[in-house]
Amino acid sequence: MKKILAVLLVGLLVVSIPTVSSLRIPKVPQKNIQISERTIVPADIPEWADGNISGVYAEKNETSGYNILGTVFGYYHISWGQVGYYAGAWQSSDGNVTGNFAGWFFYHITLGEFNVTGSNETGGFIGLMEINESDMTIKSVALAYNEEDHFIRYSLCEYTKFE
Amino acid sequence: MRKRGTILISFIFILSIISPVVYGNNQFIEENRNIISEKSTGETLYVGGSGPNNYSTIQKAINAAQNGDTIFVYSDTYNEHILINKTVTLIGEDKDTTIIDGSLTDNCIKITLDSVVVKDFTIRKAIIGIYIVKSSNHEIKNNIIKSSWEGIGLFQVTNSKLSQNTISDNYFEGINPVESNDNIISGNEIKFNLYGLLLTESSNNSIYENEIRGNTRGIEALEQSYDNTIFHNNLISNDEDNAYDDFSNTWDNDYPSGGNYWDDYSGEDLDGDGIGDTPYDIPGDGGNSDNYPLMEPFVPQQPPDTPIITGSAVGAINEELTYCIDQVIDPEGDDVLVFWDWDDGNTTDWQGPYPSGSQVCETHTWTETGTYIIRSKLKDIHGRESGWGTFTVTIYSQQPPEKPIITGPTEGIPGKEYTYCISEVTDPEGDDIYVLWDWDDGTQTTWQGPYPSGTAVCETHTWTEAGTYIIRSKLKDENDAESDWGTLEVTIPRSRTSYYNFMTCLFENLPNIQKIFFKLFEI
Repeated sequence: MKKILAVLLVGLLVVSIPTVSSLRIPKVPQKNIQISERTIVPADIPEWADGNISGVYAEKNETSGYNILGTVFGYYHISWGQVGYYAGAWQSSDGNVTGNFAGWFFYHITLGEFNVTGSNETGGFIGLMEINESDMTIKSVALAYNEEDHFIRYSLCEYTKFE
Repeated sequence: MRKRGTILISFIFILSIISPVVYGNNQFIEENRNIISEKSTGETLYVGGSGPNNYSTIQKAINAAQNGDTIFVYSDTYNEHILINKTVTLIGEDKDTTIIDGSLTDNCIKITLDSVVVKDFTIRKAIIGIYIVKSSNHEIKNNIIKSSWEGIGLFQVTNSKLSQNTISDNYFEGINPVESNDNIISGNEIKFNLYGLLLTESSNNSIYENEIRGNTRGIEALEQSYDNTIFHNNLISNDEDNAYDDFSNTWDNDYPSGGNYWDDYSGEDLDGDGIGDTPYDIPGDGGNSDNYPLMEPFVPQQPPDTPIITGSAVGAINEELTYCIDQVIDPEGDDVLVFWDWDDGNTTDWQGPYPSGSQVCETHTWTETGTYIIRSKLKDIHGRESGWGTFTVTIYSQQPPEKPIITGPTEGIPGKEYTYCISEVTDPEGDDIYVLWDWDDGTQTTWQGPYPSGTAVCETHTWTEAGTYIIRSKLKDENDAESDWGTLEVTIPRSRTSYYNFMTCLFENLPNIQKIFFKLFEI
């Protein structure tokens, strides 16, 4: 039954992809996310938010294995079960590059888009994620892509439920 | 009096318990040393423990090691991030109690040079538990790797084997080969990770007999990962998918060997051969299927038993000698193949198959004098190989004397002299012969003689303690060519004399027991 539901949801997701990038995902306006030197601090909490997420994103390389590229902060909304959406901002470790992201999650599958502040660069990502309710963490491995390239990104976040 | 007797018996009982425990510990250490001696030809460096020259950290030992050395790590917790840039063997005393903790700040072990062995550790709280980079021929075996970002990472690694590891509760991948080809991933337990096994731009790897359970996704072939062979794995309760493959990989090992066990397979097995009648389709765009899904979880096959070789320990050049394995045994009863290495540059091909339990013999002729270590190993029909059985043979320029046959009493009492004889010492060339006796009580004679070939030779001996002894005797000719050992078992039952000898020995070594004993019996 769970599998059937998952298939239906994935089907629904595929159908809704064109609208994900335009209407269905609540956009997080730039003015609502203030970027500090080290962390991303929200100015206004969206009305739809059930909680927030914060953490790091990373790549893998030869030298160190995992190389942390920057931080992320955002908000999430649960529609039902482990299905919902999120939106937020990202910032490189040196603070020089920032952007926004938004996406859906259906149980263990996540799908979304991102942009880079001050440029026309946009991209998408699809990946696998795991929400661990015991230690309030979210781990995700996603294949991210833009018009020129694709790359694997790792994300390790904590989440906080709003009362 | 009865109470005192009970106390004494209890005391001796406790002593008897302590002795095997001490022996058991020594035996354990010996087993580990045997592993070391199999794997390494260099020196052994020790970390932890109480030895005066032992290193305090694993990294210090690695820094001091030479290529080919072994580093033995005693049980303890080591908070280290280790770089292995030498060809070394790193062995923990006990995988449950020899712990490397990375505090989630860096990789626990990074390997950058070929042919490194890491076994018998717990590795925890690392960024990557073991990260191997641009190298080959490694063996990572029997470790516990947990609570890290990733269990084992491979980057451009080839011809390495990851086996018998338990890899659990890591944030991202249990195992992640990246641009890594021709490796074996076998017999691991991979559970409760985001990905059990994520193949990234990796091809021609063999992945079999792993238990992949409770991960978000069991196995995925990602980013141009082709021609990997994946079979005899148990894929159970992986939340999202047991597997996912967008590329072209092989998910079975043909019939009748079979594919993998999938707990979400819904096909039937109407012909009862243990293999599902319809394929299991692997999710993803690769269009792959396991054509022979297993109906029950795969139970790993045991390799055949290490063979025991029998035959003559001596011979002459150009003499055809016969060596046998009295029983080739496979635990599952499968047919086995036999391979012989004669240590003179010659080997056989894999011979057989032979039914399990049968005797297998082979002949060989050496053309030069010397001592040779014959080796033999077995392989079952699944390709699992036994350990090497060995047998040492010495080849002389001419025929050595024949193996002596010892005659004489096979029972006796301590303190009495007995006579043992070899009815006829014989050398094929008629050379004079020397005789050596070993009485199995720590004493032996020197080489005695010479005796003319064809004569009888006798010798006397007295055992002072009860026990069962194996008398051994061997002959050598004028050219120092030695025969096999002849043997005879002799039983010397316990007597009052031996009891007193035992008590004397006990009191000499443990004087406090003597005091207790005397006090108990008011002597």
